[in-house]
Amino acid sequence: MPEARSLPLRNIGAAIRGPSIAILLGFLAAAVLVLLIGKDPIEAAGALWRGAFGTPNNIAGTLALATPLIFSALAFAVAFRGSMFNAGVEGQLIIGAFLSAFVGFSFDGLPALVHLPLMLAAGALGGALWALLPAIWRVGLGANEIVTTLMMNFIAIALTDYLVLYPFRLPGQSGSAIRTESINPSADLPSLWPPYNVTIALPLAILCVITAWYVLRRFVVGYEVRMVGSAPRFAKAGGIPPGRHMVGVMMVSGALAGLGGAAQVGGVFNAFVSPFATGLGFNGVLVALLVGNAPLGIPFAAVFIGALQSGAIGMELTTSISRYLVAALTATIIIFVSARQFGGRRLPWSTVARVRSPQPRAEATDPADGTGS
Amino acid sequence: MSADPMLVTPAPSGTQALQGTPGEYALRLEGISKSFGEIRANDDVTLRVRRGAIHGVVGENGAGKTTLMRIAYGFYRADAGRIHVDDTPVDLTSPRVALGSGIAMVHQHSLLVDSLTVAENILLATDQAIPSFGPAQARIREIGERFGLAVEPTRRVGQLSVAGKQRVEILKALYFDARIVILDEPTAVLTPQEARGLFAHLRTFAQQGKTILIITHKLPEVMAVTTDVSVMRAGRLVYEARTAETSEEAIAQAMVGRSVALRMHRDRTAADGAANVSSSEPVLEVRGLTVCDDRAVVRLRSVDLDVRAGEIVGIAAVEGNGQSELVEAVTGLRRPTEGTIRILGQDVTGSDPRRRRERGLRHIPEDRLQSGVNPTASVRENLICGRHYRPPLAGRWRMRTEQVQRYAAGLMERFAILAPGTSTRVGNLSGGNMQKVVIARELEEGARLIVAAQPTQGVDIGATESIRNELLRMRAEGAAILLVSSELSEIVDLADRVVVLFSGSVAGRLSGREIQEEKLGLLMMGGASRSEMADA
Repeated sequence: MPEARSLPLRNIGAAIRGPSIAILLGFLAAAVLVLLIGKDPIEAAGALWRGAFGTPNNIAGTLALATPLIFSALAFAVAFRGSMFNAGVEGQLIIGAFLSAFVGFSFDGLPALVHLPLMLAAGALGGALWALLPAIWRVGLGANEIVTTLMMNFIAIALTDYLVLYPFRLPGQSGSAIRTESINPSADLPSLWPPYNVTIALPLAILCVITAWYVLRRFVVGYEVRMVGSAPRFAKAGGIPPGRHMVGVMMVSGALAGLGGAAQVGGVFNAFVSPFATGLGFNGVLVALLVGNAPLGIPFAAVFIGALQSGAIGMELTTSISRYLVAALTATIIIFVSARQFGGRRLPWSTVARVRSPQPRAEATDPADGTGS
Repeated sequence: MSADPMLVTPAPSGTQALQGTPGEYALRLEGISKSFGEIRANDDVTLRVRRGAIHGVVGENGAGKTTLMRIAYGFYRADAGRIHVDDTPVDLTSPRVALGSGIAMVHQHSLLVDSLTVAENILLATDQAIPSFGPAQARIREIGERFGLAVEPTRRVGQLSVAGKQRVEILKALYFDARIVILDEPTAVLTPQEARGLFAHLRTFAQQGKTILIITHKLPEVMAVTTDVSVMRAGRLVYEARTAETSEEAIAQAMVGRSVALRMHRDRTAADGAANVSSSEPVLEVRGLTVCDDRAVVRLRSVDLDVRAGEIVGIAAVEGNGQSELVEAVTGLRRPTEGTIRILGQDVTGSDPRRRRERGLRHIPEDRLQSGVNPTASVRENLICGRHYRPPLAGRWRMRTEQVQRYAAGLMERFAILAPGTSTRVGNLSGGNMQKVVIARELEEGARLIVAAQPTQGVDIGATESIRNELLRMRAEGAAILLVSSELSEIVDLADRVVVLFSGSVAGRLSGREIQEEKLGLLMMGGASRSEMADA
């Protein structure tokens, strides 16, 4: 069927257009900022690029930064597609990280083939359980999951701080960064590109992305999740139980976040360190927003955000422009992207959604159209 | 067809029927065109409204009448064309400018702030930084008395009924000295009695020199209240006439572009097979059903109800008298506090919607855009919901893409759903086509009990006709149908028996020839509204 074949291409075009325009506008705004402080934006951009991709070391740094972002962004996106706003990716990631570190240093003498999956599974389990509570509160009591997941972040941080400081304290440590004992080598994630920190967590993350995409698209449960996420009352009337799916997507979301934490433990720190995540979860939300929670877009957006972050360090060193310019740039891009997602119907790229309606849409959708009133 | 349809071609001067003398018009829209993307919502439309007229603008959904009215009150700007108010050219750049020119809009759904008083709501629209309430309240009272719209300015809007809120909206228009008042489907939210009250007000305004433009697609209303009528179809003005000189049939034909059966004249005694029906086992048995809403307020109280195979039982009630809760309880969307629900003899009181669907329940929900369809999903995804998890559409885990596509394409063809393809977003379809998606999904195969809530609300005449025929076909095939409708003519035309609900209890049961609009209207008002009947 020709219709079916031409659609994906058109969809991809439409999907890329919004973020691209937002990114362009964000860079323009950042250029203005750089001009205002009397620096050369072209030079800054060059330094940013070299910082992200200039040397093998920098490329590896970008990929290493992108890997946990893929996990946390996918975690957010999966929950979002099922109508849950998981603001607790950060906390779930931290709990997952701790649990995986615990498995990593507690078991001795296991073969890596057993120990590694066990460590990753522990991370996923920790994240899933941490996400389960807010999901149950939401479905059972109607407690807004944005608030509860957000609060659970603080509990996760405080709890793991306590665990690192007391029960699992390594003697002889002082200072601001405290760590547990190191995980056993059998739980180390092998590097794909020695000596850099690009581990098998990267392909694992991409595998998760593809799986999530395929399940959402082709599986019965994926269809149900998408219906619950986009029209909960429609789903309920059609016999799809929204509550069960809300709990389900939250647990998958938490498991993905926890996997991200485990990947950091097994691939970067080789221990649980406190403070642990410092924004990995929240940056994941940004990545997901950037691509409108479409799983397949996430790796690209994660590499983009990872490149900005690793490039910022290089830029600061070579041009004395503060790395926080990148934070401003990221924030600006997110604002432009959000303007498109939350009601920016008059922006040029939002007309995509309106084309090819068989009837004058202005009237066809009147009852739902709040702008007309 | 005896009445001459007088179809006019959209020539700019083709408005012979309402030709008047210069200076006679309060509002002239000349050669208005407006496009949204590739869609021409208005195509060279010329509409002239006589001073003191009640001018009906009718047309199906998507005909362009709302767009035209939005241009007239300054919400949209036309791509081409001119607007004259009292023969003075005006440039209506915003609703506020239009109000300054004497044009006001009364929206279908009240835009008032519930927590503010009537006077505060009216003064919200003024330019004054600190409005003075004393004189304003006096003026609101005075206007109310002059036009017979009694509303106490100090009452909170949240305490008013829907009809009361609408009166406030009209009062607001009059407060700002509007000479031309546009009403968008004003009776959609009213009972027949309230609607007649509104019409009485409109006649008073017209007598006092105001000009009324009223959008509607209910033909009896056009005949009852308007003096002039214009018909739009596919973005063009296709017909206009003095109401006294035309007929419902002629207007309907102009709206649809072909002749339609306005009423389904059913022979109640013959074809019904009433004896068979009463002897058959009920498909739906509701006993002592009590249902509370989200705030634990009792909305439905000890209701008993049977629906048998091959009959249509109508539920007549003014909005908010428990019919929504009844539907939700029967379809499994809301848990009743007391009572039992049986489908085909099996107690399903505690079952979820899926279990009930598997027993043959089908549901045409009232709120089409929330429960009826998923506007962001494709036609295909909308059509399979409810059977998407079973063979042949799905295996144990995965959807069978090809079967889904074939199934959806088949339904689109059988139910004449107009869409470019099965992957078109449902939100891009017209209201009538959206409802056809719902009907196709719910009535395809295996329906034993159909709960149809407002199945033709906001749907154009052509689609209404096919939806009603579809329900009658299902009835003939032996389905039991529970029909909830605020459109009394629909209940009268289709129902074999009617249960009237008033404030959550059964206020009356009618069957056969007893089913008449007047009787229903009285029972719906709790039987205590004789005074209101009198003034209408």
